[in-house]
Amino acid sequence: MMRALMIDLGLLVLGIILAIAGWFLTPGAASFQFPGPINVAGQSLIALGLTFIVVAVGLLLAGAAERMMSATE
Amino acid sequence: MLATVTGLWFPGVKLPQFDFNTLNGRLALGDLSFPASSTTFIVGGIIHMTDGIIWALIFGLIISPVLGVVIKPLRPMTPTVNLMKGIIWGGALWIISSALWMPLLIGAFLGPTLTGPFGLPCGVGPFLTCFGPYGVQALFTNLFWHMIWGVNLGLLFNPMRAAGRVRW
Repeated sequence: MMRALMIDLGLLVLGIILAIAGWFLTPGAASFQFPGPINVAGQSLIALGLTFIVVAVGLLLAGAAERMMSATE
Repeated sequence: MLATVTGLWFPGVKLPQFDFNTLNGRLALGDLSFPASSTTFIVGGIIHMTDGIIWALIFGLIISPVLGVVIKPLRPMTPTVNLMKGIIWGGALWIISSALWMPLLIGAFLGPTLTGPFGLPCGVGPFLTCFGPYGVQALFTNLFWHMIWGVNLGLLFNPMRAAGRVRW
């Protein structure tokens, strides 16, 4: 269980690092005006980083639900 | 619905906006005007959310049980395993969206307008490697969008095992 938690946290940290790196690589401020800032590498890193974050948060929530279920059984 | 709304917020984190409502509305109504009308957005939104419900039903009734039978580690019906199945289904739909829906439908319909009057580098490239002014970041943003949908589905869909024998 501890190993799974460490993997989840590792994925979360990796996602945060990628997203922050992508944010600084992408020039200009965030804008809702089309097309907004464009940078292939930066935006790809932001998207991948946020993907890792979403998956890691999902795994943490599912793991927490599992621990709660086993505790109440 | 969660993923659909999140796609509209993507420019807030410097990503291309993923407005599937408008894209679906354009396809359904043949609307090539810029910006698209609110009718296009609403009709497309209804289509897209119906799509999402149908794909979720297919997941619940077919994909999730079949994955449990075909892949042994995915047999236990625990929250983590259900989440993994949701992520797999989200990934499969990302591939379908990027390889087929976006280039073959949106690209064929909207591509000539994007590359013609707007002078953008491309319409919708193969496997979403470009989308209007964007390059391969559109593909990864599409992955992010589908992971939001898959994680949401996997966390919400937690079926209980039947009291007797499981019959799939």
